[in-house]
Amino acid sequence: MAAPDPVPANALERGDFIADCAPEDLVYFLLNVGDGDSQLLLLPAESNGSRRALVVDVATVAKLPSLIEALAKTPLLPPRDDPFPLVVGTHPHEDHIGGMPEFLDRFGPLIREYWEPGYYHPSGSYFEVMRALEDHPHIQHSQPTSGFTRYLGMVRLTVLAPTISLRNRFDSYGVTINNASIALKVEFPAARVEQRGSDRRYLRIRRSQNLVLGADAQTLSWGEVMSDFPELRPSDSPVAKALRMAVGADPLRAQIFKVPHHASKHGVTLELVELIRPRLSLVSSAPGGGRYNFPHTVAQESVREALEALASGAAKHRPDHELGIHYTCTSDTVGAPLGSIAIIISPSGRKRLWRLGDRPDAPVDLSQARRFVEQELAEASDIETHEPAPA
Amino acid sequence: MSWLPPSPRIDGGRLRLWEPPLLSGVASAEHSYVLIDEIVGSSVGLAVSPWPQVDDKGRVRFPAGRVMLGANANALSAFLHSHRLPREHRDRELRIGDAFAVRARDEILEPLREQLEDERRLHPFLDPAAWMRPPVYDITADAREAAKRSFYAAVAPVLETDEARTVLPLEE
Repeated sequence: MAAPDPVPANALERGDFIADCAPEDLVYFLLNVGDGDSQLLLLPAESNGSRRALVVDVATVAKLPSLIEALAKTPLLPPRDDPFPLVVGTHPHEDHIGGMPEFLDRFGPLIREYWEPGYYHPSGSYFEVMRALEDHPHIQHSQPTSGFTRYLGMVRLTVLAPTISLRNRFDSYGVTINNASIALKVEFPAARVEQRGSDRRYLRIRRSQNLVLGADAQTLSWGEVMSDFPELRPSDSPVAKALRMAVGADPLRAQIFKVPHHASKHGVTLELVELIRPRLSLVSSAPGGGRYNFPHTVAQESVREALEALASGAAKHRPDHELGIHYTCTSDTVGAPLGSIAIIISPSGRKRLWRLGDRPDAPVDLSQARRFVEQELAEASDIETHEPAPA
Repeated sequence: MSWLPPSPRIDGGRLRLWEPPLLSGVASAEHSYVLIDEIVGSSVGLAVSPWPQVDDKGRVRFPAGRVMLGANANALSAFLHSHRLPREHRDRELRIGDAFAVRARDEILEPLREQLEDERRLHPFLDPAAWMRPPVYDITADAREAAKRSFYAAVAPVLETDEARTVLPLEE
């Protein structure tokens, strides 16, 4: 394990995080929970001006509710009856669903749907999640596999993993719990239809902002993902043309990549990161390496090499933050924790990276947010959407 | 004042000790529920919970107080080889999801409780022999069966006896 280097303190500046979020922006949070994952996506405001939120994993009891409580006091999450259209428990490891029972108990009446991979894990958290779902029978339960999509307003979710092949082997001990993980691709903005008087118009979105949320999927799972979602090379064959039209040329491309399994050496490969080519690679890990000494040097070097290929072993990569690699466990050069990561993503592709300054066991305080200024993230999108062209 | 709902108090009604078939007549509140939650290389992450209970609907319930601690895979395998019951499982390979009933030595774990609850401790590993009192009951099969019961009760309504009668002839 190589501890991430501190980020220069002058690369961050205090600001008004709430004011920086425009109604049309998607806001992604990767919370600092030490060993584990808790993620929240604040969806763009709907026509009534209010937002809904997508939750992906709840590692600890207090952290995510503290963020939701902080947001609920702001215009970013105003009162509504259905703020959580979807909650995902990517896989039943303690560091991903350790706080889920309490989350479901508290917010269950406000949740519409729950996804989990269908992997039995006789842990206390698993039993209590199932008990909480039984207590809230209105929550629709699903076990999605690769290719499944869900549209949530301006966002399209695609399940990348587990593949059906892996899913069919869960109960045979042929698949480990990490490879049962639900990995997601988030595309924003998704195609919409515009009402024009008594007519309608299909809005083809040419370019989108994509996030790949890797959960704890490992190389076996990513190998199948790369088979299911291949990069399509130029070809004039009718099949290749049809596939490109249907799913785009490089369906795994994403500007933002939540690195799988806390950057363990089995969670990421050079080839995978080369396919995704992220501008921002985000790692959820604990200070000091946590329980399993993550992030692993092999994974860190794979990400660095994919982002900045070096001609020889003697050359050195630029610092991680200059390559767009950010860790929840990092501190700045004066020792202040950078904490949870928040990324504000505009439909145009403009991105702002904020750090919330919280320690793993402390609540989120949005007034402590600092904006990352060293790297210019205000760039145009360059990823073709997967929407087919109109005939 | 937040518009969000407060955390509810979950009342499980009257709770009784969970008594899986393997521990019939043996289960006690002095047991801990130990689960292999993760294996990374030679590191094994163990989730240690107070012994589960059963609520008045028959659901296995886990009280608060779960902690994680670590073991070296070889040391744990060797300990299980010597003390695992039933004996025919003594050489079974360690697998994520294996569940055990053990009596923990509180005098060893209690001084570490704060550190364990901080969820930071995995290194240095505790020697299993230092905190587990033999024997170790391998309740994996019972635990998985209970997990399946909790899953199917969550995804579809539990059948009343009259309703179940229609599918009983199809049961294995």
